[in-house]
Amino acid sequence: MKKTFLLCALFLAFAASVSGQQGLAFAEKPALVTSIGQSADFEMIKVLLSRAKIAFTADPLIKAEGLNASSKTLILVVGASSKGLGAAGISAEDELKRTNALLKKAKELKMSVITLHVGGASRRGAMSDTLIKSCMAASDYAIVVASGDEDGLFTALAAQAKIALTKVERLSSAGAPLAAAFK
Amino acid sequence: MHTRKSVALAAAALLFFCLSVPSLSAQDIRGRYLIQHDYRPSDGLARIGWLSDYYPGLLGTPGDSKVYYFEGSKPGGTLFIGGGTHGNEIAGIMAAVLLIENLKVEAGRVIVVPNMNNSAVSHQEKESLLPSYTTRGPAWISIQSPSGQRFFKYGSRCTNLAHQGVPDPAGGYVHPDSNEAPLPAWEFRNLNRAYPGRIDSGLTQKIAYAVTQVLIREKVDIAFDYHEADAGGRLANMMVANPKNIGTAAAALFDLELDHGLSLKLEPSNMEFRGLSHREWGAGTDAQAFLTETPNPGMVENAPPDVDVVNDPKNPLGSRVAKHIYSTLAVARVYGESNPGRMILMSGLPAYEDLASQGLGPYLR
Repeated sequence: MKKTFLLCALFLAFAASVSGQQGLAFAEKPALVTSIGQSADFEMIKVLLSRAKIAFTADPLIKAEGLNASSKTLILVVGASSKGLGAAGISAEDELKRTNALLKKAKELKMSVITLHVGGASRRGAMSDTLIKSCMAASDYAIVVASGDEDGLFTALAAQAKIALTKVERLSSAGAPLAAAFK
Repeated sequence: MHTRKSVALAAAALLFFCLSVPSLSAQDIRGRYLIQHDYRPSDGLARIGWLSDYYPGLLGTPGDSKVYYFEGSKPGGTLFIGGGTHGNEIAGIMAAVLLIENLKVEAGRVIVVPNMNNSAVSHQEKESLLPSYTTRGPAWISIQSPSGQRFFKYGSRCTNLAHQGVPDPAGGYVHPDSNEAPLPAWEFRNLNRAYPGRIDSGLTQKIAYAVTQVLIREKVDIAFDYHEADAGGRLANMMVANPKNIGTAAAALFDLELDHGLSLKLEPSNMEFRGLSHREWGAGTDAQAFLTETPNPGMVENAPPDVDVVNDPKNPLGSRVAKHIYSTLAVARVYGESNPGRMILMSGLPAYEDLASQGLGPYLR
């Protein structure tokens, strides 16, 4: 009886993991990762991508004209940092313009777009939310640390854009769903 | 009658003498100004030096402070750890003390200065210009250790006004290399606005100069400055890294989450804001520079005057100390992986979970 129960549980776990991966494995490598809002979360995602062995190039300030077909997937690490924007010498308005132009070009190039928000509640606020809305509207998939979606913003935006949203408890847990998104 | 009057006068003179001599401090035979910290180094200690070994102008001043050296039997890199930049940020001081009392180094070297601004623990004057969080807190904290109750000095954010030697600038403080607007005048006595330091200015600037010399002369690979912040504020639970080593910080924070479930925020130094340790150490020396901030309940804006900075249920001192130490260990490990010849291997420290849950007591000598 115990053995049957264990086998059933194992089968269900396997089936769940396979179906999740099949549903989400849409993105192609290599990826290009950029920062939307110039927070240091960008650095954390570079570590996450390296550890998940996802081939990528990184440019926190890439502009639309720098985007080309050599990258198949655009990863947006979204969340505004006034300190980061200041250090980069760009205004919030300019960052929004860069984001919108980048997303338009990514669509022209038929790139997959994945939004990552890993800074939690402290990486929210008016400046971040404006950028988040732009990113979510043009994404194919989003992964967020759950504390960043306490007010349901990401859930609502994902429903609106009809995209899958995966919530994780911690940044380090974002590696598995992100890796599963790649073919 | 005459004798009685003499005795009374002698007693009064003795009382006046006792009251005028600070109970905390004295000067040693070589003129070193001593604050009597009760730190009991582990058997792994190689030697003790002084900041004045790096800038003799500190000798005999309240800015001089002990430097503890731990050396491994195998070659490797050098890690510098500084606590007590701000005397009221007690977890930084106690993390350094915990290291001094437990550390063994297997490879490389570790240099610990538990009270980088020793003048800041000499006072808690309620200076009217300073924000209340900078001087709030007990004069001492006490911790029960296996050998009995231990006492550690809790101080103020800045150098004692009486020790600085130069008045606070009337128009506000501007770092000599800064183009920014003046900061409040008392920031002239804030060690973490004074780097890389200078010898033709106040005591704070001289201390900063000596610390910078430690990093240069000891060829430090990794330098940590332990701080605390308002428990509910933006800075709490954060690692700040010089941009040149932000990748090391990111990888270390990732490991901290995986290994201990500890999530710290990450920020790069603002290179326009001059005088901060992580900014100036990183730019002016070969060291990879980091600063960690833990949540101190005594630094919350409206904290009561009798706030318990040791046994706070949400942020007990043990967990704050564990965050500093294990952030450092994670950085040292990541650095060693990229620089195999400069590995720093340490042992003798309590497990993160034990330190966070049991507090410092069991791990002090």
